[in-house]
Amino acid sequence: MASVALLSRLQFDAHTRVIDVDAKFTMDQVAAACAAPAVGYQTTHPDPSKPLRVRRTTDDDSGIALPRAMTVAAAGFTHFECVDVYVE
Amino acid sequence: MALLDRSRWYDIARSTNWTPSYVAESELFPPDQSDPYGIPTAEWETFDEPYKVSYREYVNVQREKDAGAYSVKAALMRSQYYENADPAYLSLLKMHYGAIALSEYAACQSDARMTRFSKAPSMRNMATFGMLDELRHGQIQLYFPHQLVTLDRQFDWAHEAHHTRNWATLAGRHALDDVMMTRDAMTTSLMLNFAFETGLTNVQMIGLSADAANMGDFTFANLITSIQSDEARHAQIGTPVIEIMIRNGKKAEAQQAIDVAFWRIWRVFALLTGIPMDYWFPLEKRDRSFKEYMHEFVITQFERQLLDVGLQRPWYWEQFLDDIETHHHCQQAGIWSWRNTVWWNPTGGLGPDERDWLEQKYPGWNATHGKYWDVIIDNLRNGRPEKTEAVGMPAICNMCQIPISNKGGTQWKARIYQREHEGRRYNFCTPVCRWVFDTEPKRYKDWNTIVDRLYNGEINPPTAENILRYMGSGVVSEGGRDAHGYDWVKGYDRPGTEAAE
Amino acid sequence: MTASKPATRSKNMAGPLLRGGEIAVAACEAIQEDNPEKQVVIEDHRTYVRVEAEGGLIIRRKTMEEILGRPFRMQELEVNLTGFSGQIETDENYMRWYLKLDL
Ligand SMILES: [Fe+2]
Ligand SMILES: [Fe+2]
Ligand SMILES: [Zn+2]
Repeated sequence: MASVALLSRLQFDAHTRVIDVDAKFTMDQVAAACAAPAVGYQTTHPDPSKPLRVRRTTDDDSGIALPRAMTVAAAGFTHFECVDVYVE
Repeated sequence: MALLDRSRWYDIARSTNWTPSYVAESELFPPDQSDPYGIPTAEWETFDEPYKVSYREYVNVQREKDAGAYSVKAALMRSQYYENADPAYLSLLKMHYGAIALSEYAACQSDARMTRFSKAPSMRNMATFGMLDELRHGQIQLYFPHQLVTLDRQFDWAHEAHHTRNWATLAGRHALDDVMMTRDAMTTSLMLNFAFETGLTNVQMIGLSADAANMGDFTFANLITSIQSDEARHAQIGTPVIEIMIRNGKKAEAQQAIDVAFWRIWRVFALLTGIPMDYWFPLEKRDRSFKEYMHEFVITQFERQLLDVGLQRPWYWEQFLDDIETHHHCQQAGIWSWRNTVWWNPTGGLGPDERDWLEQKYPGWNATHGKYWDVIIDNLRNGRPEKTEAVGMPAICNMCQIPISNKGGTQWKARIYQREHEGRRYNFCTPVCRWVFDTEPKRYKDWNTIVDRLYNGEINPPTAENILRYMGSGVVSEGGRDAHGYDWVKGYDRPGTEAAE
Repeated sequence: MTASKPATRSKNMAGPLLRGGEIAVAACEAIQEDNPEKQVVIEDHRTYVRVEAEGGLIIRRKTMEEILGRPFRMQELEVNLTGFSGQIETDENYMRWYLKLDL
């Protein structure tokens, strides 16, 4: 299948969400897909002057942002992998 | 005719153990149904129940309780209370009856297991009464809402909820099946009688009664306190079980059973009790906050009982205290946003005064949970009500079956705690739900959350309408909408009450 | 935060929670009579009354009968006993709430 279900943690959002993303999506498109059901519904953009970045969720929040043009396929995301969506 | 004092015959009447000759004891009492801890039968025979009652006394007292509850209902029926009640208050009743009524039948089966499989004759005796108690609770809590079905079809969920695959039902059933339905007699007693009934039923059945009486609903206030008088008795089955287990070197096992059950039931009851108490009752009718009730009944009363029977507070107590400040606030927000998935009409209920009350009771509320509502209030005040209806799905906990949420706004606490097991990825709301999974992965691993079912093909096609249909929303009755048609947002029209600056 | 529970509340309080009403009123009176050496704390929450004292309380059938002016079976209290703090002991002639540990 060409799409994968990610679990999104958007910065300052109270909910975590299930987000379907296409294997061809760039990280910018992943970030937009994660923000779409949240921003303007139950939360605001964490800082509209900055782009939303994507990193793998880790226990100590030490992950680094994946390149904005990197694709889902290149990142190697798998079903129900957790990502942080945030501003740097 | 003078009757013998109960104490003169009680010991003889309750010693009903015998030595089986046609079958082995392990067939009469299979360990997986009776006692997997291997405690000698002679030890179980020392079970001495603290709350003694004979069958004759039981029947007399129960008759009196039922007569009280039904006569109050009959007397108040003509007052048209429910016809004129606040719709948010009716939502509390819909949620309560849907969640509780059939769970009482499940509790009845649990007590039946203790009645049949306990090796302690006195426990079998007490569990027989417990079983009859739970039968009464099931029947009376179906009978009372039945008259309301003609008023509002959502009351049909009192009977239907447990037969649906609504996410809230799945959450409740998963916890109750774990604690009451799938354990041996002794573990059931620790989990149901001690952790659940001694620990948490008070807040729903006594705490809510104070608010219900303030609302003028004496039928319900009287009903639930009547039920709780049964709970106070049969909950005592747990105490001697703990004593016997500790004496026989099984303290760690008893503690773990209680830690698992207390957390599981807490996660569900925080929604049932906490949300109505802190959000749905009109401000002037609120007796105290949910947190204050939790402090009175759980943190003060139950914790002390736990220490007194020789156990400790659960290892996750700090996390639990934090959850009291967090969990039901997040779920009030989530349930309101995904309101078309539930069988009641939740109210946002957040005018400026209500926010002040919440900030006072839960310092920091405005900077976290409040930010969520700022967005909603802004949408409602600026003609975008469609933006208050959630789209997509939240991640769901593989243990409590509740959306994985936490404090947001100025904090970023929502986090998914994962576990890989046999090639599958499981998601948990907290380290505690994950710990429960780790205690016995085999027990939990095959269960699918409502989100899992979207991806394994069970909900097919996985469209928004079909998910609702799968959950019974729009089938049993129409799904939820704001109880007050967003009226509560008008409070912000008053000058100087801007929600978001 | 617990405005209704002062921090000074003893760790060793035990006693019944009673449904408000005639029996609760009589039971409160009986408890005070049956525990003369104790300082009984009565909190009225309308649908329930919390009655407690340091180390626990006892209530006797005889005292209830005197107050109600009629025969009283100890089990009748169950109709109005929605809970309790501490542990419980029941007998035809009394009910007792107590704690094993002194904290
Ligand atoms: Fe019950
Ligand atoms: Fe019960
Ligand atoms: Zn959970």
